[in-house]
Amino acid sequence: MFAIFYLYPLIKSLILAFYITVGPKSKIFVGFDNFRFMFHDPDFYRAVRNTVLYALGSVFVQLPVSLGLAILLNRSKYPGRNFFRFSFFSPYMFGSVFVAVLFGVLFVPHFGLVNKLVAFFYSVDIKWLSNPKLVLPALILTALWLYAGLNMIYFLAALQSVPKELYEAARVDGANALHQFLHVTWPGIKPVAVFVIMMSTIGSFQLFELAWVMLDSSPGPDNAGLTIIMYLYQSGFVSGDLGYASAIGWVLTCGLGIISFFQMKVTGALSK
Amino acid sequence: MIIFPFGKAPAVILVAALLAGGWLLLHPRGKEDANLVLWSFAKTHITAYNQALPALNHAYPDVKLSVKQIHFEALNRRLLSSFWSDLPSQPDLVEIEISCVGTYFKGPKEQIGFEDLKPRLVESGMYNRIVRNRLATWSNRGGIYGIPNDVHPVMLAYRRDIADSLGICVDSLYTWDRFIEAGRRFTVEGERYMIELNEQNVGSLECFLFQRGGGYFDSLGNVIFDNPVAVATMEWFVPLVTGKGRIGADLGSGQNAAVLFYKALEEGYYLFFICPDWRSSFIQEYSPRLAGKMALMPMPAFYPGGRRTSTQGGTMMAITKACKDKDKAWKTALFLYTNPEGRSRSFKKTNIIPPFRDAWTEPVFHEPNAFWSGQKLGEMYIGLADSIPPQYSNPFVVLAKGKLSQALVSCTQYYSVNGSSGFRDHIRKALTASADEVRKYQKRGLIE
Repeated sequence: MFAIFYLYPLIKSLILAFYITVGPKSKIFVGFDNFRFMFHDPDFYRAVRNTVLYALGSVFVQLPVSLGLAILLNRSKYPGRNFFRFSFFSPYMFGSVFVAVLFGVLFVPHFGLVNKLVAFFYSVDIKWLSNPKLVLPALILTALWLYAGLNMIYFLAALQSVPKELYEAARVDGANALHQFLHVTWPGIKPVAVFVIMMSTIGSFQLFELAWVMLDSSPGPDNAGLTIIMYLYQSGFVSGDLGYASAIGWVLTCGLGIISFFQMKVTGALSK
Repeated sequence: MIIFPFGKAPAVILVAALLAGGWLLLHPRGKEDANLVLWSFAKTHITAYNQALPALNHAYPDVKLSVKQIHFEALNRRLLSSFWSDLPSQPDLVEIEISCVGTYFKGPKEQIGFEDLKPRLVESGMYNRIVRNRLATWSNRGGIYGIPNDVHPVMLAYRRDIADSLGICVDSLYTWDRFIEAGRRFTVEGERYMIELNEQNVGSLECFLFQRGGGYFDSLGNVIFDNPVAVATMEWFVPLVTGKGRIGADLGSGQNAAVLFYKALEEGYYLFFICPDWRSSFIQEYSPRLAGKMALMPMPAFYPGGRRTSTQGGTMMAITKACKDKDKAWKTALFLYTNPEGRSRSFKKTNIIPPFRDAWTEPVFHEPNAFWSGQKLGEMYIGLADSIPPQYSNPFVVLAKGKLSQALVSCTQYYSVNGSSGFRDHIRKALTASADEVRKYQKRGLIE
């Protein structure tokens, strides 16, 4: 099974990366030309830039929000915490396509709910999905709503595994809330945090359907929503150049490998 | 008690899989009675074809047609994959939309998965009955790979009630100069726009580009969207959607914006909008409250006596090379597209006029339409059908649209900062850069 569904496609895609193809039937061996073309293609760099910015948004916006929610909802004195835990997690159950359609409507200029809310404070009609500068923020906001609850669950599970006695001991030693977080909570949840950061990064680099549906099966104005996977999809399944798509896939894989290694190194996960 | 070595959950999954597999083995799917299969993405077409089935069976008892609706994206992905890999799961007949037909023409000519219908069109006399420019879209390297379903001429639709109350005399708006001048008087920024125009995607721009005789590619497949016509069109278009004198706006692109478009129209946010024949039926369906308040007019021309229409959208019916009985498929396709009863029914439902000139005399196309203020909608579109510009398909048309969109964004940004100073030079540079990108792909990607 492994050979049929993983090993063969993996080797096949590596071989294909050295061909220009129109579907699998017509192909020409081009050596490293696919990679050369990719590294000279401004669209590729645009896709990388967008994806990296989205990933940074995921890690530096989404994860702190998730952790904050988890800490808040981990307090036993907080009334209705089970309801809020469920509420924050529930967007994830709907799936990204549903959420993309929903936010596509919310972000519509003039008539969309987001702009109606903005209009209470400023009389501007923001074109979230038509303005190239606002497409990524709109995507990051949507992803925040979609994934914050899921990551919150991971953090909650980690927080609950931190022994309560450690907090009591820290309090006896005079530690304030920040010190407790830095010296008790963070070391306790670090393995999970590393896992969540890595999964969020990998997931961000795989961004496709959320952007594809929100931007109406397109990379958005001025390619503002073009992601690496979208670029791969367009090359392979719209243009039919499976060879070039394979090359993009391999570059993405290598990139993710390097980023994951770097993250593990920085967070100290490798030293254990 | 037997203990499953991998735990309870895998045991449950295994049992479920065995039960499901066993059930499928015991209940094999019954073989379809059909000897022809048709795929289409359009619900309205499917309805019309299913309604025509009794008449089809009566006319051709040997034809047993199965009509399947498949989502637009899924249809194209499945069909392309089938063509590229010679998979057996291909339909006999299939409807393909204009925006993606070019992809099917990529690669060696013999690899195109559709049957070349030119000999059949010529032999049957259909070739001379069809609006010639409409065939250009479905042609490639000398072959014609589908029967056109439509012409899709474009008019301007407008809120007649509001136009009347504002004292807008639409008969006087026969050139774009006059239209724009009126638009600047009646547009109230943020509240009411003279016309719905796409600001960032190329939907509206390409419509005007076609009207002026431009396009993405010429008949030989050369990239032409950086030629003088394109430069002039961009220079004319951008001020309509940017800056203080703008008369056009949109609600973004996509289905969500399309849904809210009807609300915007009902609230008088737009006075005019670009309206190919197919879109007129959407307005009827989704804004029934506007019945009797809407009207149509030919597009203003770029100069007095110039072309007063363009074209937007389109569908063809093709026969796949995998089809085992092409004669049967051909007569079925012809029947579905040309039988008068079906055509009449289809027009009443979709407002789409057929591309066959001899059909235009049928009474249904000359009936007044109460929704459109009693105008004879079919007759008006037919009056423009022979003037539609050609639209050449190309494997790189999706890429070209994306690149033109990038140039549009660049020009819009430039104009909003610098106004008309140096604008033409910027347009030239932006269009040339975008067109060169497409040429780069063309040079690399063709396997002849």
